Amino acid sequence: MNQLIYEFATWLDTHSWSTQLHESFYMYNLVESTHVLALMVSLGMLFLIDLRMLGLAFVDIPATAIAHRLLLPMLIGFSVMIVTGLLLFYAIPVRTSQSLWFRIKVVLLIAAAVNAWLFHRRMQDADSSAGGSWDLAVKAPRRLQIGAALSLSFWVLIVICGRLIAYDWFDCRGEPSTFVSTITGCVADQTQF
Amino acid sequence: MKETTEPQNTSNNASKDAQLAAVIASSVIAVGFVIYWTIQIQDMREMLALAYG
Amino acid sequence: MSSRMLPSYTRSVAVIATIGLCLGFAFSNARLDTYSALLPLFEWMETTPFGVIGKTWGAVFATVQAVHLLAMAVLGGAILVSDGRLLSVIFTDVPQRQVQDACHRLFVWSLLLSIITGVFMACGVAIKVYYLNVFWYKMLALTVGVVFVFFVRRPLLRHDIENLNPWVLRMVAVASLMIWFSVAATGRWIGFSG
Repeated sequence: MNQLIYEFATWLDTHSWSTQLHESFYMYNLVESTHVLALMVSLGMLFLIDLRMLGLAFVDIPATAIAHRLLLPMLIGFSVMIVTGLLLFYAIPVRTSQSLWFRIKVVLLIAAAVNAWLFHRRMQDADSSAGGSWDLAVKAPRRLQIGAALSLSFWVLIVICGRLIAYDWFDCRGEPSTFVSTITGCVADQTQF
Repeated sequence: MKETTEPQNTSNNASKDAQLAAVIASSVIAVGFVIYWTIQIQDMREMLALAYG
Repeated sequence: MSSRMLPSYTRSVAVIATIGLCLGFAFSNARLDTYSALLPLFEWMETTPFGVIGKTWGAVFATVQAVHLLAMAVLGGAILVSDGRLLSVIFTDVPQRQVQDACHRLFVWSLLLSIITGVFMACGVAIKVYYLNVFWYKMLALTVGVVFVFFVRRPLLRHDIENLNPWVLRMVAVASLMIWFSVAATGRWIGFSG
């Protein structure tokens, strides 16, 4: 598996666009800035929804109104983050795919996506069973609160991991311990980093 | 009559003041924004022109 | 007409006076004098516990940076919703008062968290940022943003919002988006400079 990931990453690295993007000061920084600033739209909206469910913000406004109205801007923000995120990966494929933090981030992203899917299903269930009577309550039903708390936790960790990708403590080039080397997917005799 | 209109006038005047202050401050921010980012973009274009011709 | 009937433009005059003072400061020697006088403060910042931790522990510095980003996400969310409502593009069926008050509370908390984490980060790289133009532009934008929110925008929105001129509200919303975008974008650029 790790060999496969390494081969895929080295193949991406052979693309001239990947090198050009990596080496372009303005373009790379522009893509990275867009990735980070899109946080304000994507996570900004998501956190407002989560905080509403936990009864920590917008308690006067119906919970479903918050969840439904902020969904579109949130999805637009996430789309920008996905596109710019993929571009950032494309610019530095080998090192990123073997970054411990990137790998943890991907696992957390999958967990956050599953949690979001479950959250939406639970919200629909709550809507149909309670007939929207929970909508005006300060706090959402317990199951939704757990979903919101999990979502907040996952995203806090995702942002921290994303920030830590920039650090090279566990890079394959630094010949890490066998344990770290296995998790990060360092390949024996690899020539590219 | 005077007793009922005076508080309303005061509130109207305060609202006019707040609105005028907001218009002035917003205009200055908008002008500053345009000047700053125009200079930044211009600088970037010059750097790129120097690097790539 | 009694003097009571004449509108009092105290706030507007204060805004004009502040702008005049800022321009006077920017185009006089006072700016360079203040800049030189601030160097010892920045040198001292690096020696504080914040500065020492920030410089010694890369992981702590990066985590605080991530918390700064998270605070910025909430701040951005609150601003976008609040200005979006003023521009009538979001929550049009929810009363302005509810949206603005809730957003303002969230804004204050996230601003506090951003400033605390921001001061920590600045201590770790104080001398570097002291010599960066973009850092000072960010500080200028941040100061303008904070003053704008607490002395212009919030006092305006304490009035009956439905009775305010919608064009004034739109101008305020656009200016607010411009200033906070500039704060975030110049902040991001600090990381790329130096």
